[in-house]
Amino acid sequence: MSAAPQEDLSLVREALSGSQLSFQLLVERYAPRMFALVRHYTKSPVEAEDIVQDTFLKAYSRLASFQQQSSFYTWLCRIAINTALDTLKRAGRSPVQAVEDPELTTGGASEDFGRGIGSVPAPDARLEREEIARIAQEVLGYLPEIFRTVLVLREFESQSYQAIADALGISIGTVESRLFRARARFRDKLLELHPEFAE
Amino acid sequence: MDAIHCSDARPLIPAWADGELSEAQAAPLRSHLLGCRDCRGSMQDLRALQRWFEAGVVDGANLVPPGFAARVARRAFAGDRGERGPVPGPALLITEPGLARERRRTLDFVLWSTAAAALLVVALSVALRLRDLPSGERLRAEDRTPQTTEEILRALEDLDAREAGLAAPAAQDGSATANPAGAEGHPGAEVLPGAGVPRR
Repeated sequence: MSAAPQEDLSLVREALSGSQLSFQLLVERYAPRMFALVRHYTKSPVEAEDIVQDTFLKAYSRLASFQQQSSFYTWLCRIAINTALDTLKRAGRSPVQAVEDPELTTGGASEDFGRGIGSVPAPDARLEREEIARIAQEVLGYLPEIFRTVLVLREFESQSYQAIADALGISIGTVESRLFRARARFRDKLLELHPEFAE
Repeated sequence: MDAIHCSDARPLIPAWADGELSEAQAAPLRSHLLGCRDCRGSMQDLRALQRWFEAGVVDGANLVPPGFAARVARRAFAGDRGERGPVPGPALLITEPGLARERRRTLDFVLWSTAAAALLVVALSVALRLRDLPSGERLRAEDRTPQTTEEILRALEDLDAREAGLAAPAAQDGSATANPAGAEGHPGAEVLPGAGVPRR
């Protein structure tokens, strides 16, 4: 259940006015979603807690710059993703970089859309939910960061294209292109790592 | 409602699956899917892919440690900005993921303190050693004023007396009263104030 934007704005104003309790309420409201988001970047609970804590601390220090051009949650997502990626780099686990970015390649996404992402095997009905999640996380870890992030925001956080665009500072067209490429790569990597799932 | 072709329908499928199309855009697509097996196949591929993600949707409420919000709010209002400085280059990357920030800071503090203490000890040792070494001036024998044995002994007795805190009268006749203790003076012997017997 998402909080009404107006409630968030009220809490932001009160926090800026010096109300520690108001900021605490904001943290309580969004900490679960931040932890869920960050879990796609690190398996370590300690590291995840560090990242989420730093996210909120940075958010407070930048609260005055929150322009309300996006929802508070979307704004937090942006900080959380950047913090997670910085943490990975500090730990020597730099995220995979894409050789190409759909924004820069010629041809456009329409050509790719025409071909579809290709045949995709559904999870075996005999697989446990935890095993399916584990395999998905394994495959996600091999994807370039720009693709992993859009997949996480869309598939796990159910964010709209507009929210994803706001969180990442890109256009909706780029969101669509990256999502298409991300899904195609996920499929390819899934079959590469687990050929037993191929039809 | 105008019918659409596959070339128009395919690009819309992901957006439709993601709930991004308006009703005006979705209606002709739905009609097309009803009649086009190939495009239905693309739609099914996308749905199969999304099933891999559905299992990974996490209820973050179970991940939040107790007291997290209060602790973070307290730190925020205490001035902690959550900044860790610029991301280091490859040569400086920390290779111990998972350490809590507090433990990392403590470890850094201990390491730097130990290094500073070691440097201080070495510096003091060197300084004391240099201080104890006789200088070149003192080692030049040719600078000494020739003295008789009598004069040398008297000078040593005076030195002993000074170190003991007693005035050693410089007896001109070389009498034994130069040493108030009455005992034989030994080079390096120490006479304690009020003590009758000098001791080494």
